[in-house]
Amino acid sequence: PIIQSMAANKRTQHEMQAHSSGGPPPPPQYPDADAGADNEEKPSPPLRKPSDSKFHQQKLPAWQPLLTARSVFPLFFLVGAAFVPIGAVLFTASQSVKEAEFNYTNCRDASGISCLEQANKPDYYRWLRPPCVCNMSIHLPDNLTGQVFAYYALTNFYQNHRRYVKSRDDSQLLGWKPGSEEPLQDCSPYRQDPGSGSWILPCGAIANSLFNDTFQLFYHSPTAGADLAVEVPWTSRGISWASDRERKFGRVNNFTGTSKPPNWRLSPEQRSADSFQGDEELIVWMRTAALPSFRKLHRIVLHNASSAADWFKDGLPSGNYTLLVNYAYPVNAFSGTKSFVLTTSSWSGGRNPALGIIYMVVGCLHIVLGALFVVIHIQASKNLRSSNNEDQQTIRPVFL
Amino acid sequence: MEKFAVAGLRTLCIATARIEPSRWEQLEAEYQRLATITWSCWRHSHRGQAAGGVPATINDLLLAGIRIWVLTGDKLETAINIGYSCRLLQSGMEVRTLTGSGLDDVRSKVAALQSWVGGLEGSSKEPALVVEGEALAWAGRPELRAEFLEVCLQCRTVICCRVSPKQKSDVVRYVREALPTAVTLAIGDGANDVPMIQESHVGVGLKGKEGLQAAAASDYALAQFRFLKKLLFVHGAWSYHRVTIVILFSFYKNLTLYITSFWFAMASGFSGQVMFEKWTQGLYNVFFTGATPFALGIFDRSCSQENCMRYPQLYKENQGSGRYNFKVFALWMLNGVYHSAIIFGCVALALWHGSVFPNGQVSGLYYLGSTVYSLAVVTVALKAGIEHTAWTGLSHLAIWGSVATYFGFVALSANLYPHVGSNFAEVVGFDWALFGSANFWFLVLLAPLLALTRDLAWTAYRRTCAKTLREEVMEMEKLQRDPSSVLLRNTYKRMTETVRLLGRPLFRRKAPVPVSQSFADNIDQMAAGANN
Repeated sequence: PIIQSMAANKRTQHEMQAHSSGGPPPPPQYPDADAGADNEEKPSPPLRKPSDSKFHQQKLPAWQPLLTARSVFPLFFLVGAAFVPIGAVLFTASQSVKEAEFNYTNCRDASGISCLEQANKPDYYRWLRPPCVCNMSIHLPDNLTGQVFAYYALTNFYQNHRRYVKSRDDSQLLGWKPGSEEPLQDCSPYRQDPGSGSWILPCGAIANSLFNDTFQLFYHSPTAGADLAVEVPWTSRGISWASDRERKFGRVNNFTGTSKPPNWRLSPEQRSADSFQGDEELIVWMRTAALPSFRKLHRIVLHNASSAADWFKDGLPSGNYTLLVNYAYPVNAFSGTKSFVLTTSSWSGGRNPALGIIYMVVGCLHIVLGALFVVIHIQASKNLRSSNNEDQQTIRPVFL
Repeated sequence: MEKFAVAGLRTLCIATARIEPSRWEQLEAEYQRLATITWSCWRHSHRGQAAGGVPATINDLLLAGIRIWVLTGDKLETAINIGYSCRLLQSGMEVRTLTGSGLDDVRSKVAALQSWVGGLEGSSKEPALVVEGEALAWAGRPELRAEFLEVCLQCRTVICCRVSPKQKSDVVRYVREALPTAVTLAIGDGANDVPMIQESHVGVGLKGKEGLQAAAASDYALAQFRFLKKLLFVHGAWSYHRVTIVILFSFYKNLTLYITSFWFAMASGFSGQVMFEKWTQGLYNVFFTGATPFALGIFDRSCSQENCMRYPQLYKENQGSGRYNFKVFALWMLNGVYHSAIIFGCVALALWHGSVFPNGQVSGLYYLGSTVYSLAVVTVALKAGIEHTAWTGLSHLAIWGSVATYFGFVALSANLYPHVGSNFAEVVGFDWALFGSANFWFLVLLAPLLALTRDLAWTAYRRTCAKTLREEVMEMEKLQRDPSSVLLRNTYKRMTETVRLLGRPLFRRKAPVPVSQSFADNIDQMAAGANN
């Protein structure tokens, strides 16, 4: 180290040599012994102190929540006190929704033929020949007051399967792809018509598996004649999301040179004049469901339609109804079921007590926790007081 | 010579001889160097050993449970004197020296020391060992090393004198090999300390008159020895806390979101379908949960600076991998899985059939995904809030800002399709669908609170009934009470435990500053004096 620092201080070396002939240099003056200071003779170089701001010195003012039993139990009580009423409100809202579900998977037509077996035949679901019209007598136990919605419900149908979900072409649905432009590869095997070689429009498995049962609902009023059946008027307008109609589905100008999906009985132009924007059933179907058992909105009841007079002015009255189903959709292959659902709605949506119940349970849990922490807090402060008293007698400060 | 050495002075012997003039010419060049060395001993005698507040710092380091060894090139007597003046050696200790040469000689002495140390076990006197360099060379041989280290590790402190730079690094290496879980720190100020600094886990170099070699070779360069206290107690403690929390939190937040995909897979035939829109998913760690680890890692303080410095006992919490080990990690990961289950469960139950809108319309796959994702972002942000020990303004910004950024992104991404190609097609109209749905807001209120109930309850329980010392001090500080009583009580408790030194795997060594000054800077002073 001596040699190294000598090399660094060549100037010093020269001075040493200048003094060498005169003998050893005199001893230097001793400075005052100063504890803590290490810069005596030389003037200290300019300090490069970092900034003294609160940010740089990590002295930002901070809130330090204590999170002990004492500060936490009021929070638990508060949450509990808020959640239980919220849960009650949600539960009430859900219970105010009246719902009736009718499983028609195994229904039979007028001559007793099981439509389920019929539907499995290839001729049937392609051409609907011979048709199987289910005739179900259903009974509504309660009045469905307010706006009534009709859904179809499927079970064990995995619309959330990856290969199913990706099997679509959104550009086609927007109407941006003319018939000559090929659809995405994701759509295969529902991409190209094997016979004619033309592109399928709309391509993909989602479109191809479009739900195609049709329904008619008739009300048998007890006051009117026994044979008088009033058809419930409903519409498919407004069953799909407005944003879907306006921004995800467009109008296709020209369907020439394209094929309809193989499972469709009607072509897109036949289904709706404004395909695809006006084909709301398709739009609803294309919004793939999240779970394997799902419902999709099928029709919205028109309560003020002139055709039904005043029968359904306030909703659907309780009583006997007949449901006619043009049974077309085969669900046997995947062991699924089909159901028809009539329900009203509330500000929280359909009938689902889950959220209300969870809220009430969590609220009760929090109240219990709050009480528990009150006990813990009391216990802990008792312990603290008693240990403080102990320590007063036995403490001997011992420093290492 | 011995008197000077005992007085703490460095000694140098000068002799005279008659030499021929021809010989003198050869020696003249050497003379310059010798002349400067001569006066260094004069300079040195007036440098107080109390320079830089060393004894106080060493006392604090000992209070913190850090074991201190001294490795110096000075004589035995000088080293012992330094030890007493730094309060490493105290009157309550029994000090023995290990000198000698030759394998058998040193072996027998080490055996004697072993029985000595064994005899002192359980008594109130603590052993301290002073080892001379030559004996160290013999004792460090593979045949004797294990016994020698066993003696050393049972001693309160070890002072090695007359050690060469290589021996300094050897000692560090022996200790590292003997105690693989220990973390070693070496601090020195001269070039002869460089091997030692490089060998230890953490090397601290002191800048100053000795030159910059030690500082250049070190991990941390300080200007004074006493700054070591702040380096360890404040920055070390804070960094340990921060790094731990950042690692654990980063893994946790990703688990919370992505395990929900696993629960979803159970309902989607394990087909691998993702329920999130891809851009939203990709920006999770960047935008929506990226700020909170920063706030935790840069600004969170486990204890205030003043208390960290004032109460060295608080440092013990950072030793022994107590805060970051496999168990802690596993519990955090399980917590993430638990939270993900709650989030997905609540959403799945609430969106069971899909008819959640007042106008009868139904939701779908990506609606479920967006809801789950929103709940995950909120839960994770609030969890970061619970883990904060000190909420600064930037913490607020990070936590609430993350949630706000996410909701802003939802509003934005809902309107981008079809202007950006096929991206964001899945979330068209989700701004109204999510924000306009009462169910969604009730879920946002419910799921994070339910998930964090356990976290909050457990934290509150632990901080009430099983407080760590640090938490007690912080509580006292917050309530504006004096924490000293807590620490007195705690220190007493710890003294009455029978904690054998061997059981504690941590100790550190250092070389004291004043005694290891090299001659280099004295030349500068000499030159300055000569100029005058």
